Amino acid sequence: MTRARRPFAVWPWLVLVAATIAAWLVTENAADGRLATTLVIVIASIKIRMIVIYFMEVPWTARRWRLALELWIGGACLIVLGGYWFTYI
Amino acid sequence: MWPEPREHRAGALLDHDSGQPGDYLPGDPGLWVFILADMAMFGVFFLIFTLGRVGNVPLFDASRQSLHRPLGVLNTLILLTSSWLMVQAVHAARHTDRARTVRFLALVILLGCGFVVSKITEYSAMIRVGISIFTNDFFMHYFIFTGFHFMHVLFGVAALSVTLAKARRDMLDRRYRVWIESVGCYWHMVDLLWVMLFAMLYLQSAA
Repeated sequence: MTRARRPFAVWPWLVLVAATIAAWLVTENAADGRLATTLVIVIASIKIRMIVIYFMEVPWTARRWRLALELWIGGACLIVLGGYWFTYI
Repeated sequence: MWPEPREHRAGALLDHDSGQPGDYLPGDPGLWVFILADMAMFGVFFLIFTLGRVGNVPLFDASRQSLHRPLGVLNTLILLTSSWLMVQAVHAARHTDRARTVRFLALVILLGCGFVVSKITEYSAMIRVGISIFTNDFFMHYFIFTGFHFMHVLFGVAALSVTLAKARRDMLDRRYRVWIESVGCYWHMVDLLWVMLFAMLYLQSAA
């Protein structure tokens, strides 16, 4: 047995927690709902990408897996944000 | 068969500062196919919700005000932290460190149960004030999508419990490593799906 020494991926977790709280504060204090929503969805997409990269270790997999996940993140962001903005154009 | 990762490659995985990316897949390839299919299904959910909102913006924006945002934030922090602890559990299992593997898995399960309790509390509070799946289109989407995600969490907690039992009982060999990596990737998927659900359902604002 070897000892798994230090905790791993601490800073991505801290960034994810901070981004969650930031998105919440943006929503609670928004003067412009459209800007706030855009920020919130973009932050969510960045958080998902961080989970994929730092927790799921996707950069270490074959390119097709990473491509599939990156496309999903882009697609999900486009659907939610595109649908939101569509109602204001 | 998927190539067996070499030790230096496993080390690179742990540190993310050396080694070559490209041919190491954490967990079982079949599980990854399931993960992508599941994520595609949630992508369709996002589309259905978005189209529903396009059809009735005032209703969706007004209904959203009834959701308990602090509980949504709490649930997000719970899942993000549990996901991070899962990374620690996998990290410990790769080092065949049984004590830490068991300890981190127990914490992940505890937080998973915390999410379950928090979500049941939220559902109960909504039902008490007369909000249900039949209230309107927004809440129909809300209950179906979060309910489906909730089932994923329950399944994840069950899988994590089996993983914990195996960590206590079995050798922490390559087979176990594939198992815990698979469960870990599933749990991360549960986490990332919630991140988008939370933003879409709770945090969108009216113009």
